[in-house]
Amino acid sequence: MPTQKPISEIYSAGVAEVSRVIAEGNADQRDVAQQTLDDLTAMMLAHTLDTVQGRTALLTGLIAELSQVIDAVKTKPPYDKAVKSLTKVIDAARTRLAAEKKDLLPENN
Amino acid sequence: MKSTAVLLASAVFVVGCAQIPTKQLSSYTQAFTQAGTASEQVLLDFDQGLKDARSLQRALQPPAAAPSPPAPYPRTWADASKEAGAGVPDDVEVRRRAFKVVADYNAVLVQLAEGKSVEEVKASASGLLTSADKLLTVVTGAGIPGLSSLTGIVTTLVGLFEKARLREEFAQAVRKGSPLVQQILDVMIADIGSHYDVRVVVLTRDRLRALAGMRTAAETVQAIATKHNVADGDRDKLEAAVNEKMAVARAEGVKLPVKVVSGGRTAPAYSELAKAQCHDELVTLERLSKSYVDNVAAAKSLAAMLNSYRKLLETAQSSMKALVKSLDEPADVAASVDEMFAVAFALRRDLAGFRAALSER
Repeated sequence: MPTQKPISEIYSAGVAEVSRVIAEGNADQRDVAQQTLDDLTAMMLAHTLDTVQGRTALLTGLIAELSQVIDAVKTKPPYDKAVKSLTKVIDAARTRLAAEKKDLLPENN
Repeated sequence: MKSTAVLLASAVFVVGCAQIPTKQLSSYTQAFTQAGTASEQVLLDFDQGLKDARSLQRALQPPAAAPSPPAPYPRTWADASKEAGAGVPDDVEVRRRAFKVVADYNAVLVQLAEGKSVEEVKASASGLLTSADKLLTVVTGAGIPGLSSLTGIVTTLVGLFEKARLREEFAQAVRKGSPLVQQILDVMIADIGSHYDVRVVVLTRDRLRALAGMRTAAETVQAIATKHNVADGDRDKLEAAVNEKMAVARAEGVKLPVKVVSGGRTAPAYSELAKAQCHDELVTLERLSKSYVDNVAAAKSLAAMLNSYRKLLETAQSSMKALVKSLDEPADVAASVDEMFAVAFALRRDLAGFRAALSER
């Protein structure tokens, strides 16, 4: 089964022929060649724009996946928060204890 | 004595493992930053190219059958969404976002490599011990014996383990993220072909239409000259002017020189009207000739820009490969040995200080 020529090859060959006619042909031939050029241009642009859109969809998926990798990275240790919280609790306990001890001391007369 | 040896050996082992390939990371992030900077101009041009291509594509479409009278507002939500372009991602905007997310990913890798969390974790541990010491003082009247030595031991060990954790996070982030980054860069490289095509297909059409116009203008000058009795001097000037402008398209196979032939004595005189018509055609020919030259220059400039851009992207890809490869390479032995001795010395000193404080108590 013959394989279909890529669109870019069809375009390239077509434009080479159009170019020859425009360079060498008479006015009527140039007019026909310019119409063919428009058809080839439309075909190639449609193909290229479709290809670009296909890659846009692929990139959207890749962006989402890489964002997940970034979110999963722990730049700080998981226990750091716990250590800081514990420090706060200890400081609060010390302050409270120091205040209660002061209250229990007899007043100087 | 035995516990000291175990402690020192563990610390040494952890130090030996805790090295992030900063040199390869720096090469990769610099390469990507350069590619990212270049991409700003490239994507601007790509955006314009896509807009021009879509505009031309619409213009080249065959005229539609007589449309039904337009409604004052969209008939359904689907029509309204279609008009607003909702849900249709902007091709170039997505590419900008792709560069941004890779830049964010690189920033996270750099953050892990810089290891600022090591000092933060040491400060947290030191803060906890200081608070515990103060609480003990309030409760018992005496704090933790050898606090400064104990703090030294704890912060050294905590720092070591944090370095090892960072290294492991870094390795995981690179292993999970690098295939995605490579795929993104593959898409950007493939896009270069489409960028070129989208621009050059439009340029080619413009160039060939200019060429067709140039030939028409040259033939019109020939036709006017053939129908009039043009003096030799005027004829020579006309021929020189036409050939000077047509020469730019020599490479396209245009047959040169173009011959301008006078109608001779039997033809009507070369009137002012005929001269004006020839002048107008020469002005058109000059404009089209300049447009032809500019067109060729634009295509060559685009190719050069895209080639440079492709090299930057490929450099970023190969730097990323080197970074991934470096994860499996053995650590820098000299650096490990130096750090190992420093750590072992610090631990030994602090342990001795702590034991001395305990025995005094």
